[in-house]
Amino acid sequence: MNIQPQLIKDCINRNRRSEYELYKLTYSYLMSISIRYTRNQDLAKEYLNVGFLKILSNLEKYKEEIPFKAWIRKIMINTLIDEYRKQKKHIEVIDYVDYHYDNSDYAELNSALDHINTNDIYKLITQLPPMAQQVFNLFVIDGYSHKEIGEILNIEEGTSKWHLNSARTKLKEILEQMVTPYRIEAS
Amino acid sequence: MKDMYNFEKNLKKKLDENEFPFDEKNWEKASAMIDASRSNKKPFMFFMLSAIALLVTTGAVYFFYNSSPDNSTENLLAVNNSSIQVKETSLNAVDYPNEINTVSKESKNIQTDPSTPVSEPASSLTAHKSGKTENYIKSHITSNNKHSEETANIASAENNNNKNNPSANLTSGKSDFKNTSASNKPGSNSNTSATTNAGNYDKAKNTTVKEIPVVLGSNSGNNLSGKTNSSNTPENANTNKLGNIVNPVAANVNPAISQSKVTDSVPAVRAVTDNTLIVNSIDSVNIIPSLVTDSTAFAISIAAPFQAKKTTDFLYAEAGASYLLGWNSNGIQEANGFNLVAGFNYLHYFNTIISFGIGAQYTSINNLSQSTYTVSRVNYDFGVSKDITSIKYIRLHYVTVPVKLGFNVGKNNVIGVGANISMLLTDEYRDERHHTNNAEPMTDNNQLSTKKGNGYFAGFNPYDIQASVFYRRKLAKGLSINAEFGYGLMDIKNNSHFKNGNFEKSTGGKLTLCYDLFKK
Repeated sequence: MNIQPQLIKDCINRNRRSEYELYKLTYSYLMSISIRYTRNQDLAKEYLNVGFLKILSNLEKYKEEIPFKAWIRKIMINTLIDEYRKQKKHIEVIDYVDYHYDNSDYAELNSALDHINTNDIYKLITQLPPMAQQVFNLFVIDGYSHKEIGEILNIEEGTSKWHLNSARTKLKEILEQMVTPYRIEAS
Repeated sequence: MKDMYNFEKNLKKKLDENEFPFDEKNWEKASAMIDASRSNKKPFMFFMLSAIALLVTTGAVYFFYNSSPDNSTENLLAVNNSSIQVKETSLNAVDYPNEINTVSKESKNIQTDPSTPVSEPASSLTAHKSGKTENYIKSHITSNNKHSEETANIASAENNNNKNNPSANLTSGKSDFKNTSASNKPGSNSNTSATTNAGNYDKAKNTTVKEIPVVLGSNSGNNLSGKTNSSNTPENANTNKLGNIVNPVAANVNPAISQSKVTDSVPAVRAVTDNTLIVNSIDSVNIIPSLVTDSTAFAISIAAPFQAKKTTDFLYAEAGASYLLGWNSNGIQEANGFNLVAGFNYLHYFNTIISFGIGAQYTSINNLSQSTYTVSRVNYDFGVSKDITSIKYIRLHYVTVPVKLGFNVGKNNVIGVGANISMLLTDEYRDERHHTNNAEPMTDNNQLSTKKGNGYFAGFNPYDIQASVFYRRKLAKGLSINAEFGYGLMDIKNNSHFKNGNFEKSTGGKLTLCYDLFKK
């Protein structure tokens, strides 16, 4: 993603063509973030638009010394967390599931990961319980600490850890099911 | 543990490397959202600027009409009685400030004019100049008493040919310059009392009253020497039980214009200080008395408009219906229809024109037909199945705080501007759950459950603000009708939640009946 300063200036001046260019250039990156935090691709696209609108409306505040990619990533994640908060109650009602922590080794899964395409990985993540999905994304993929996650999601630090463990356990369960055919092939 | 971290590292790498093909259709949606967000600001700004312009204009008109030329005279009369009314026509008729100055400086040869009509109406008192005589009628204070009607007059006269130069006095038992007992005794000579009072006043003020230019009615030099008017005897003037107002030239009093009637219990003129004349129980104040001294021109004027004390605070119940225009959603007009409105309002009048109101009301938004939120969970078992939950919203319930600034137009009409600040209390929705296999549509056959619920309103803005204009008309005592138009300033529905770029405004009209519950 190579965003020229002139393009940003044109977007600040509300040049629709430039806005289109920026959207096109950032679409894939923003979508890769959005889809991890949502339950399906349609919703991910919708949130992507909300995030892009926030990016456009805050472009005047952007400082060039900050990498543009990191800046829009931060805005996109904040947007997704906001949207999650809004529908948190609803999702929890219909999707809450208990998980047991399982810390067995990942060596086999690690090698199986090479055989799984990225779309399946997204599906894996979307099958996690909503809160576990958010915590997993924030901690594992986006590099937030449990303390930061606690503040973002308004939960205790320990609760964040619990959700991360439940996410890992659930992922492992699903992955084991997915890699079974590869095991059979290998044997 | 190390394997787990490596696994997650690889997972992250794979996710970061993934490319999503650009979706042109999604850009069209984004473009619509951008347009909507930018156009939303324009009506808000337009409305706010219009409201400010309306307020400024109304305020300017109000202050313009309340700063009439009659108020150019100093307001030296403090009136703390509710029964005072002012006949402004008489104030207009007397161009007294100039005349006072004329009298005070050029009154050496003034004589009373015998030709002045005796029966001159009180409401049209004017200063008369005729030949060597000038009479300036400055004051006429009238009040009514059911039990007794005693005449009190405030008058003064000056005749430089007369060395006894009677001075009008405004005296009171509570005044700064005390009246002598002699002045109040029945049968005492009015001229004597006048002289005495003048002297007292001089002492009290420590100044010299050179010219007292107020003469009542038709006077002559003879009158000053004690000729009495049959309807206004010295007894009438001086036997005032209250001793509050003593007419120094009672013999000269014109009954037609000296109708100050003082009650037994309440003094007509309660006190006179350097700057203030306090009047009680006066029904009408027609003319302005004036005393001119070396140091200061002591004038009593009346700042119009004096109004009787009015009810300024109201608590009223309001109930009726609102009609929302609704909004277009997927080609269907949603939220269009009538809603119940009920609540209480408090209204405070700052003055006779401007009022401020605030209240608490219940209202709702009915007929939600295009507000369905669907969440699906895909299960990869033997084939693909979906657990789908649909939340179909039916109605939103709000508590509203109406804030209104009203302007009286005429006796029974009020127009104004305001804002209705609403907070979403709860909602009603239908929760439907389906289980579908292999992408089959949701039907009654695969419906697992359906139930009504409330309290879940994710996707709706918790607040709403309407800018409003209203018209209220009094129908009967304590009952009025209120018509209001409100323009929604906030988006009712969250676009990302409902996957659209619409701006759903709560714009519409309201018709309510208002009934006064309490007023003071």
